[in-house]
Amino acid sequence: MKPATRMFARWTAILAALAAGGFSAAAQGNSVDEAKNQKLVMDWYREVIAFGHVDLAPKYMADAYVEHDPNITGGRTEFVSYYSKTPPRSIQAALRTRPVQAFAKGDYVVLVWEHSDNDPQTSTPYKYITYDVVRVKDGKIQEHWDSLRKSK
Amino acid sequence: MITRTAVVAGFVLAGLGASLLVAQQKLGHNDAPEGVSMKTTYDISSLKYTAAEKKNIDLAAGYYRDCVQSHHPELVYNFLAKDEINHNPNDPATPDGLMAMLSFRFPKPDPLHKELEPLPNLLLAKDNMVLLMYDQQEKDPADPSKTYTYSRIEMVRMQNGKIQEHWDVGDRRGNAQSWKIEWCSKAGRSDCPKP
Repeated sequence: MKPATRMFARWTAILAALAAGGFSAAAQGNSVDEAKNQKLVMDWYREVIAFGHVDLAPKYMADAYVEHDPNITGGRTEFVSYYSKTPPRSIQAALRTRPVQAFAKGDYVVLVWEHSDNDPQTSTPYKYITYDVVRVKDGKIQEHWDSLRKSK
Repeated sequence: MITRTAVVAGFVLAGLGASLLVAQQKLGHNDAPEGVSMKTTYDISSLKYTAAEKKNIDLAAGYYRDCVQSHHPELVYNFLAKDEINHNPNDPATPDGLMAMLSFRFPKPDPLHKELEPLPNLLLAKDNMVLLMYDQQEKDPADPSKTYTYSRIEMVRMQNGKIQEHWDVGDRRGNAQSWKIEWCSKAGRSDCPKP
């Protein structure tokens, strides 16, 4: 589905829910669902991204998944192709690094990661962050944004 | 990031982002906090906020609108805690530093804007956290005749009614951001790069 068509379909669904009076019900996001979403995203990140098991992508990611990382841009197929460049590693029970902040709200999950580097001019150590924002619906990851910009 | 970083680096991008927003659909927010326009381009139908989260959204939006976008340094402490922690390594390290930077870069602040502009494409509040995410456009490095879209965030943590902590994306790789040199010493930093 083209992005414009996807967006139209999404807005149509939202407006249909509003018209049907389902907005209030849809808004009753509870902490149980949010906790489930957060666990799903953390498992996805660990197994598929961190340890490279793109074979598990369909377990976590919707058929109509939308990737907003500008170095990938597309759907699940493009995501799998991108992460297939690195061979899968043995999946560990935990990530080596945990996010410094993580929360779920409604259908969204936010992960913030901290990294260390040295200032190229002064060699002073400093820290910076990257992030992942994920939308989950019906137990599958529908959409993903991150901090990356296009590299040359 | 309509953050301090956006103040510095984002105004060209902000213009592009604003144009993009105008062209996009708008959705009235469910249970919208008063005073904050909740136009957004991503699906927010699952969101519902507590009274405390609404207050936090107002505080975050007020900070970005009044200080970062309207450039009013004298209002910084209306929003930021004295000991606010900033996690962007290119930003002023302290609220006093932010005030110095705003004064240096924008000697004539705008009249206070009525609302955030550009508006975030996604706004989330959960407990004491508020996140604003923006779609941005810039030239494609592989083909400068084209543009592409990427995202950036501003995220803040509230404590005792003030912004206590701030995160956005910025590192020191690639081209050094020469702007930071000019105000860095005024910002109370101990790690200013050499000009």
